[in-house]
Amino acid sequence: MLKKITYIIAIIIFCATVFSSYLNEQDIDDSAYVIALGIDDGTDDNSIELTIQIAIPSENGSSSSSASSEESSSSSSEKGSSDTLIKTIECKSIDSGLDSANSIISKKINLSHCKFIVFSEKIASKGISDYIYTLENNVELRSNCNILVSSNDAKEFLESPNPVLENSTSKYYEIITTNNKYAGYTVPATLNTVYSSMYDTFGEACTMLGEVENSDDNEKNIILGGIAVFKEDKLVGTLSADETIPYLIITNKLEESEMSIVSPFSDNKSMDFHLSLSSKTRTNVSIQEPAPHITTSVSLLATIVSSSADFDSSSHEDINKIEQALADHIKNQITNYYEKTAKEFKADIAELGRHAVYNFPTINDWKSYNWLDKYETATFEVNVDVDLESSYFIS
Amino acid sequence: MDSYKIKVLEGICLVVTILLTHVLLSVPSALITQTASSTLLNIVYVAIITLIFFFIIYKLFSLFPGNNIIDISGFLGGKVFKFIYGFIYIIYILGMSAIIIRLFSEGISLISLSHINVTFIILTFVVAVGITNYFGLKSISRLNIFILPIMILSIIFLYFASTGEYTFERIFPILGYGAKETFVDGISNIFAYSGIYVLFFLFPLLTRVSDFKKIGISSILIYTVLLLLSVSALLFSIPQVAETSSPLSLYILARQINLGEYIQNIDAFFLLIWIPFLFEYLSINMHFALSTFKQLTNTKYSKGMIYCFCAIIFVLSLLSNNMAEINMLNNSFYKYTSIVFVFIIGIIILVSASIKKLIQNLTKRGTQNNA
Amino acid sequence: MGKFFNAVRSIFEYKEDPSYEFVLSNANSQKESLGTGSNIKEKVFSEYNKNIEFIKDKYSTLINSDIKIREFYINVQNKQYKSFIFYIDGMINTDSINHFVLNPLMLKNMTNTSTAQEQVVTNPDKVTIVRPFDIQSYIMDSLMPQNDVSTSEDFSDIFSQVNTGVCALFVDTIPLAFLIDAKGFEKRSIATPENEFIVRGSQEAFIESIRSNTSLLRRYINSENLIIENTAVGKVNQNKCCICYMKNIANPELVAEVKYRINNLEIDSIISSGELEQLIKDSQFDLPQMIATERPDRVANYLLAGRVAIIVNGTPYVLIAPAVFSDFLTSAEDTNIQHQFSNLLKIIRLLALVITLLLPGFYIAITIFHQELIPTELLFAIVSSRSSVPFPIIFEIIIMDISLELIRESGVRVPSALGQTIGIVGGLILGEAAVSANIVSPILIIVVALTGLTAFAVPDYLLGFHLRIARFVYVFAGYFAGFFGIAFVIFVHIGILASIDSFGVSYLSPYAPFSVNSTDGYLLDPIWKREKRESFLDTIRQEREKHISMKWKFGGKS
Repeated sequence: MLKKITYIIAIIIFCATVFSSYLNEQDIDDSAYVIALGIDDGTDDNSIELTIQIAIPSENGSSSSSASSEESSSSSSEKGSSDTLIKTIECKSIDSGLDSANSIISKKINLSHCKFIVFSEKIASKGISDYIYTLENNVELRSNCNILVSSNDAKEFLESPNPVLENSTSKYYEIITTNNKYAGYTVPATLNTVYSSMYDTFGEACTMLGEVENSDDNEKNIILGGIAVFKEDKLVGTLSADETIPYLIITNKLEESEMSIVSPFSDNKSMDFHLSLSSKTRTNVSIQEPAPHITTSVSLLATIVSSSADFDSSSHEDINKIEQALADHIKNQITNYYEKTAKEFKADIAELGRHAVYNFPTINDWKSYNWLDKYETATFEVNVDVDLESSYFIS
Repeated sequence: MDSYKIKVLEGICLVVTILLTHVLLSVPSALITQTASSTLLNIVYVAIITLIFFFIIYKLFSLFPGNNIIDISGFLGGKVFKFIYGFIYIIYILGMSAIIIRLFSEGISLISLSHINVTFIILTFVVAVGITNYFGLKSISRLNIFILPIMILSIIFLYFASTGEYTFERIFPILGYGAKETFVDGISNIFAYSGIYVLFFLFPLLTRVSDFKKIGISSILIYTVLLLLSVSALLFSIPQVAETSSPLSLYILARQINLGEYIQNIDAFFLLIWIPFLFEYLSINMHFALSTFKQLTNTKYSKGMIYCFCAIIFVLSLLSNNMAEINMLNNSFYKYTSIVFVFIIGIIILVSASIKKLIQNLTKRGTQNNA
Repeated sequence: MGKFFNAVRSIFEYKEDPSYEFVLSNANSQKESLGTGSNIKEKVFSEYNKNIEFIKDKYSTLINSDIKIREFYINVQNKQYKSFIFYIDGMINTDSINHFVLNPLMLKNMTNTSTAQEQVVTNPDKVTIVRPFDIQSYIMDSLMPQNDVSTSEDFSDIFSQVNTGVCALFVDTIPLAFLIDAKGFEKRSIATPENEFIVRGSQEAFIESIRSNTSLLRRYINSENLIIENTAVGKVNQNKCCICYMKNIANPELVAEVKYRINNLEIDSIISSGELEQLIKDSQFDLPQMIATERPDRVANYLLAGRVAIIVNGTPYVLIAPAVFSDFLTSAEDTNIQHQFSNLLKIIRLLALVITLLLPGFYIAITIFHQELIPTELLFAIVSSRSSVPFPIIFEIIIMDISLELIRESGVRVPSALGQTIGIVGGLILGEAAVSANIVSPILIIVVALTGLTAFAVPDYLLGFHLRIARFVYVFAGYFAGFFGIAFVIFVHIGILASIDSFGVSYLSPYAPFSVNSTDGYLLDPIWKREKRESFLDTIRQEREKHISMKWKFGGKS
């Protein structure tokens, strides 16, 4: 009898101690889900402006009211798109900013569904390795969260999205970053890839580039296109959306893209092609003195999408002419890309060092070779081979 | 303890579980910190050394059929030596369990249960271990047959699911820091195989003594493959500069799995697989501690010691103050202690005992010839 | 103070290990006598004693309780011929035997003292033919007022006839047997199985009378190697109980163990097989450790596989021992249909088991601790649907689970006229109204409804109970510690399963300890591949069919 009582008392004590600490659990209703973070330069030297975009879950996609504006000394709130709430806080670091945000926002901030992290150009030029390191170590943040550099302020960038085809901003963010799969205007730059590239010795990091578009009737929207080029951790330049395609070709990330060239048959007409890689791009780096020599062999598959009817699609000669014209155009683009990244930016964002490292037996040899600086002096050779497939039903 | 005997498959599962747990924790990143891009070469090299080591102990054990290392140490140095050696083994096993519990609890506390005190997580571990040991080796080895294949599948899935993120060129430069650092200094990487101490205790548990060789070779080979998979996954995913002996290497890999729009961040499911696996490892450890205790003290009923050993593990795991201390314990203290204890002292005892036995046999034969 | 110390000491002190160790070992060196009577080559002897001893040996009449042998004398021409009839009780019509077999042979024949030779008139010319007197034809022609009587000299033929309900008459000095058709077993007044309905299979079920049940079994198995031993359980009510097994298949140690357990119960009365099951099962965990079925075809299958069946008078549920966990997820139909269909059903049942056990626990663990697992859009849908619900998720789940259990329990006792009403009230009103009143969220209704539905996909009744209890434990574990708590409970749960042995067989056979015999697995092989019996039963006769069983297709000289 006493044994039973002892057991019961022991169980009660155990339950009381154990269960008492479980009352602070993070219920699904008590979290505010951040879908994007923006980092701008702050007013002081050491401070940043952290912009947080929080999703407002609404029923059946109908919009709910936006947040009211609040004036206080260290924070300001703005109206975002109809289903998100945007708050901006001035702080010393990202984590302290998130902490301060908890005092303004009613629920606890949860980063596990964050899709975007936007840096403004100004802060990117100062260096972002600390922020990337902090974000990579954050347990909640997904490592496939996209990193973006915006030519406008990050705050303005996050206020601008106007999703029409989707009924939520988070869905819009998810979809818009995948346009590299069919258009070739963005690069897949996630937190993981940026972090790896920054700390690796094979090359430099690059991120997506975005800007705010102001249309005529004062409706704003965001455009994603281009590459932001970093050297070490500072922004040194940008490549436009058209210049992204050579990068994708060299790094084997091109899935599909459209390209338009001047028709080889008449100078004032253009020809449009649908491009994809027919086999992997082979890059060969031969370590020579004084500079490495990089040979790139590209093999593409092209189909004519639109053209004027001034050539004979069944004639071998014409086909060869078109292939040659397209190959020359792409070769020019790739060569320009190399020139720009090597001479102007001095940053190997395609991580061509991966193809050079096998020449070195030990890590010390590789480090003393210093590929990141040698890239500036490298010489390039590009070979492009295009196979044309006609897509005409009626020729 | 019951007299449950294990067969080949259960034996292989037992040994692989003990070896594989450290892969879950810090072994891959510790290996990469030591030998950088030549880690894969180094692992193959160390595996060959372990196989040679296994053959040596197999040959030496065949002189003492049906005995485990405690019996052999008793044969070598008498009761006192047997007691000291067994006692040190119990302390080693309990200490290792405590370090692992603390490491993993801190990790889980960081990952998902941040508002629960670490003490309660450790308590849960200890309670689970106590419950399975109450049921005995029968329950533990049968459980293992379910848990281990799922764990192996999870490692294989982990490797193949994140191939999109791999930079295969990180295997270059092939010799890492240099040939000497890879093959001479890198021999300390044999601590990855320190779970092989369980083979010393395996003989009395086997149904057929001839299974020992099969169990040993299969488990070392299976473990080598899995270690190669996890180390290469880690090597290819993460820049080497950032490698700082993180406590949960496989978790870092699990975080970056991205299989499409709806399957992201599935690391919590891996927790669901790894936690029972860790419970299983701790149960096996505790079982060996209990059976060694039973052997040393010649008691008939040792289940009462479950409470004591659980309490000891609980207290030991609470000793260190923070994650940094326990990490340091794991990486330096545990690493070198296990190499010395398992590989060096184990071989010395076996060799000395075999020499003593051979001398005894020779003298016996000599007296027989004379008589 | 002393009491406190005693209590503490009682936790740590030495306790006699109460575990009961019974391990099935290899059934070796038992000569297997092949099953059917077709391999018995002997012919009927002329001597009475040889016949009766042969039959007693072959049918093991000393232990086989329903084989009846009635010895008597036939009086012919003032000579007394020793005779006996033998039949299986429960298979024959006793009235028919009494009035039309025993009566004419024993009573009506008493006045026959004539010794004259028979005279037969065959044609109108009154030519008489005198036949020498022949007792065999005399008995056959004059003393058997039965419509269906034949003779046979081969024991194999006699045995196969007796097994189907025929009564055999042996007379001293006559080297043949008279086979009298007096079948009288129960036919289809037997009910259809109420709780184990299958589409493709027999629709008979056991009833309360033990003799009818044994006759049902006899008809399915049709072999003299089926032993049905009688025993009585309970000091006061001495309830009849039969232990059935195949003499040439079942491991004798298993049979001995079952008999030992049943015969060593110090209890006043046992009314049902449920009570007997609780008294003889190995471990007192709430998992079922013996199969309880009301289908004779299922019992026959298990007996032919080498298990032991226990029939208790008064209950239509027959117990089968030993039982492993995968048996509770199989239905009687699995062997009747193609292996692809039965494998599909088995996978669905396993999925149903996992869903009914784990789904509420996972839901609560994911929504509280692991929100990153949910896709973003679904997460927002859940949050917005829960926005007006005042209660925490754990409270909702408990309310809905308890309501489901209440509805289920009241549905058992509801009069049939009100059955539909309960369905409407329970399903529509409670669920729909609860959502409209913002007491629960719609997603939770889906979770709980799915959980309740899948619980019915598990074939075994007792296992369903166990899952209902375990589900609550998982819900609380998920609430308190997320996936960590659920992993802890899964580990302890499977550990408990692994520690149970049912009559010497590991509960998790054939996976733990692992057996390489392909017949053993959870999923079925095609019927032509199931060559061996289950290895964990250690039967005398391991082979179930030859390597080439379809000789019509692949026959020839193999």
